[in-house]
This record gives sequence, structure tokens and C-alpha cells, in this order.
Amino acid sequence: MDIISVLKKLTQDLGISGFEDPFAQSVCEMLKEYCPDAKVNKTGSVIGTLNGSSANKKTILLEAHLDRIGLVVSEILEDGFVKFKALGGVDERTLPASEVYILGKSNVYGVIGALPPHLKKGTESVSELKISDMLIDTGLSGDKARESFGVGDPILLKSDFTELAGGIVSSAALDNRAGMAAVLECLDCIKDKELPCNVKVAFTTGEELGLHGARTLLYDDTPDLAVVIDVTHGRTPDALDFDTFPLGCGAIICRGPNLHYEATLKTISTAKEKGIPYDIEVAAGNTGTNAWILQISGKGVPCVLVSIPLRYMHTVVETVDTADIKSAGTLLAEMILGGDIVA
Amino acid sequence: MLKSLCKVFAPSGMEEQMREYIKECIKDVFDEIQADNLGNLVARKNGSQRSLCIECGMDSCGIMVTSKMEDKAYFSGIGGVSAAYLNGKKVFFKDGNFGIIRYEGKNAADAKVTDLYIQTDTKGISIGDFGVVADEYCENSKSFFANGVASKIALAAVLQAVKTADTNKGYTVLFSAQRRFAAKGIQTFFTNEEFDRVITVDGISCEAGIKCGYGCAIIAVDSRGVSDKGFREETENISNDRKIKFQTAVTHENMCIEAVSTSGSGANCVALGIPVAHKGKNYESVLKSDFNETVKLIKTVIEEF
Repeated sequence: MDIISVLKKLTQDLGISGFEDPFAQSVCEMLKEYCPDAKVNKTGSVIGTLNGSSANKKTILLEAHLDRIGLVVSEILEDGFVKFKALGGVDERTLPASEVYILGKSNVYGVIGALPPHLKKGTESVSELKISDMLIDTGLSGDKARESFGVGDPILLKSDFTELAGGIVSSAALDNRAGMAAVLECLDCIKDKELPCNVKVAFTTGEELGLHGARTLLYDDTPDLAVVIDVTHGRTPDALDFDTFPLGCGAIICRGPNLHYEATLKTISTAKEKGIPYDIEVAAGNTGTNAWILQISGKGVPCVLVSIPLRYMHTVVETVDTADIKSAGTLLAEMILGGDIVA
Repeated sequence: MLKSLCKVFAPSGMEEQMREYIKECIKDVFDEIQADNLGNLVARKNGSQRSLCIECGMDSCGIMVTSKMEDKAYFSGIGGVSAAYLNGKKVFFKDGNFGIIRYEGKNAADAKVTDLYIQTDTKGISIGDFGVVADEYCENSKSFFANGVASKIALAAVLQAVKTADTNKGYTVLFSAQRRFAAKGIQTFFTNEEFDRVITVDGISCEAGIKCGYGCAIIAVDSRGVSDKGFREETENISNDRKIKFQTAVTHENMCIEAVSTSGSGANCVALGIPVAHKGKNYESVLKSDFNETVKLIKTVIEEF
């Protein structure tokens, strides 16, 4: 699978948290290549089963969230300026001077501005801008703006998919389109093989808002193991070593009480035996991923968390190494083919 | 009706009196009215097949006695109780006992709940007793005023809408328990019952973008979730057709969209908010015109969807 082409396609699509519908439909079509039964469920998540399923076999669920962070129109002022709020944990520091599209009746281009430092009064902080201090300027009058879009319409932060050197790529929404690409890479590796277990796939909605899609996902059907694929923090010179990972170091396998002890050790030994680059992350509490909610869904589901290092989380220049996506996809495939990961 | 509702003792977790009041109020409207294990009251009307649920809370914020000493009872809040506005307030307990909340510090605006106590005859009060804070209910030609109006106004609107709606179609109304306490009633109900469409109704504070006098707020995004876009647009369109005044809004408050839409297998949810001025402060107020527009909107949803 050409990971860069897949990432390019995935990151150009929308899928803002809470407004995933058109993107979910297009992901569903993409998944049908591997899972003919793929469908969009009531909460907008895409689910499918690889090559059908057998009652005699145990089931592994591969889960990656498909939504991306964004903004939402909260007020249109008389003079056409637009107040907005965040959908998900947007890094507010990076917003001023950003370009956006307001996704209303048509897509309206705008720029995010704020009061220049020159005009700040003595007591006001110049360095700490909050989202409530910012406005979107579309150039439209109040009446024209209200004709074009409304309160509650989502806002996309404009971003271009860029290839940096050495297989590294940069774009918005790589959290978690990189995870989705790893799942697709895995499916591509195993699609024609005899599998020792059933493989279900779920691309879920609303993770950035509070793990919403994952909450309803396992209501009807509980797998024997869930493998969550998400991103984790990539290392930069100013970051601490213990909770960040250099790009290119491979798949990151997380250990902690949110995750199944034995299945996680088996994942590590699979990576070791198959020569797949990996590193280990420790989460003493909440992993901040859908594993947090899947673990306690239904009667309880053993979870494994595999992550991809990503720099500049929740900005429009999120950056990953495609080699890490390949490593994560290969690791998922080997876990499934090994057959003994499911207790 | 609102005046009567304001008198009913119903802090989160102790809604018995409110359940009885509502049952009496709607007994001629619904075919089946039942309380579930958590204390939710569920009313079902039989009729042609459809999957619609209207939800509103029946509880209010309150206090619970945590310790007592001589004539002082200390307490903690249940739900969103704002300590800054409690000094000097009268607290009622279930059996008719009452007390006055006191603060010994200089600036009540800085008070935390743990800094406050209730001056009362503690012989008649036990640790764990529930209480509610109440202002006298009053109204003029334009507005309703009382403490806790925000929690009662949605209930009043739903009750009025179901009593006046003219439909042969079936639907369910959930009067949820412990809504102010982590939406516990909502979560347990929707885990076991499936609906295609759910409308939740609550009071919402007037803030930037939500204005009193502009009708019911149809919530696009709250602090924890996003209303279903297609269902919201249908609700907006039908409001436009019926000339019902509304405002689409984004709010930092939790209108329980997440609790509804992610319980069980999930449901398409739209939240409605009745604008409340001075929410959480002394004498919250609601414009009658906003209340009436919300009743019309709920009634239209029941009759048309």
C-alpha cells in the first residue's frame, strides 16, 4: 500500500468531530475493499468485518478514531466578524493568523485575527491570547455572513499535505488519519491470508470530544481483544525524553493499567520476534485514547494500544514518519497472524 | 404550573415528590406511566410507530448535610450550586425544617461551600439530609422569577406541551432523575431503550450568542457534544415554517447531548435551551415569551416528527 497516497487522501477529507458524516461515508467505501459488510452505525462510526466471521474463532477489533479537531461558529457579530469555539483540544496558541473555511451553505474562506499588540492596553497580556479574544474575518457584512453560514456550522483549519525529507509528512488531521492508515496497511497485508481469528475494524467518531463513538461501539457485540491505534507525542529538542518518542523509532506499544497485561507483553514479543521497530510508552492512568472507554465497555474488553509518534499535536502541521505507520501496520498484521494474542 | 413546580421538594436523588406531582399532572395524557429503578419517570403514549423521546430533568440542585455542631449544619452541594450566592438564603429540608445559610467572612463572592454553614435547630436534622435553597416565586407580565427556575422551566415547558399536543402518534417522555448529578438518569435510561430521535430540554444561561427574548435556543454544540446536524436542521426548518422564534446556539454548558447520544447504541439528539437570565444567582428569571416559544416548538416536534 502506498502510505503517502492514502494519507494524502485521508487528510484532505473533512470529518471534524461531531460533523463526520460525509467523511465517514467515504471511509466506509474505502473499507469495503477489505470488509464488504462495512457500514456506518447510528453514531456515525464505520464498522466492518474482514472476510466474514466464524463463530468458532475469537475476534480481534482494530479501532482507530476518524474524527479531527476543528472549530465551530458560536456567534456572528453585526459587522460580520465571527466568534468561534473549539471542537476538541485545539492548540489555541497556533490559531492567530490561521486560514479557515467555514463550512456553511457554501465553504467561506476566512482568516483568524486578534487585536494587535500595539493596541493592547497596559494591563492586558500580549502573550496569552485566548480563543475568546480571536475573531474570524471573512470580509462579509453581517447580513451576507448570516446568509452564507450560521451558528453551529463547523470550521475547518486550512492545511496542506506536505512531504518533508526522509519519508516525513506534515498536515492537519494526522491525528488520527495516521492511525487509520496503519489499520489499512494491516488489512492490506492480511487480506488474502487464512486468519486464525475474526478481524473487525472500527473507525470511530467523536474521540476528540470525549470518546463518543467508542462509547456506543461495543453495545451490541463485544470482541475478545481490542487493539486501539492512535498517535502519541513525537520528540522535539525541547521535549522531555520520558514521554516523547523520536520519529522513525517504530510502533509505540503502551503499558499501563488501562491495557491488558498479557496481551501487551505478547504484542511486545511479536515486535521483537518479527524484527519490527518499536518502543514502549508507559501510561500510569488514563491513556487519553479510546482504550480508556473500550476497556470497560460491555462486560469488559482486554485492550492493547499501539501508537504512532507525532510532533505538534493538534495543530495544522502535525508531523509523522511514514515508516512508523508501516511498522504499526506490520505489527498489527503479525499480531493477528500469530493467532495467540487473544486470550 | 411553574409556581407549583417551584414548591415541590426534588433535589437530585430525592425526586419522589416530583414524580408524584408529574404523574398526577399527566395521567390523562399517557397510556403508561412508570418509574424505573433509578427514579426516572417514563411516560409512553401508544400510537403509530415512531421512535421519538422527549427528555427533561425533574430534579433540582440542592445541598446535603455533611456534619453538624451546636446550631450549625455544614453541607456540600448537589449539582451546580454556586457558593457566592448562598449567603443569607433559606434552606428547606424534606420534613419542613429550615435554616439560613451563613458566611462569616468579609466577601461572600469569594466563599466556597466549605466556608458556609446553615444556622438551624440541628436536633431535627441528620447527616445526609437533603435540602433545597429557595427564593419566593414571583412573576410579572413579562417574566418568571425564582431560585432554581432554570431547572424547573424545562419541566414546565414539557408538561405544558404534552398536555396541549394534538397527535395520534406514539412517543415517550423521560422525566429524568439525577440530571443535575452527572445525568445519571439519562445514562441508565438510554442504555436500555433505543430511540431514533431524542429531544432534550433544559434552562440555559444567557451568555454571548444566547439572548433572552430571541426564543428557544436550538443547541448545535454544548460543552461535551454536538447535536445531530440533520435532526437539528429539520427542527430549525419546521420552526421557520411554523414561525416559531428560535436561535441556534453554541454553549459552554452541558446540555446532556453526550449523555443521550452515547448511551446504549447511541441516538440522534438535539438539545433545546430556554434562556435564563442570572442563572445560578439570586432570582433567576425567564421571559414568558421565550417559554411560550419553547412550548410551541416541543409541541410541534411531538405533532410533526
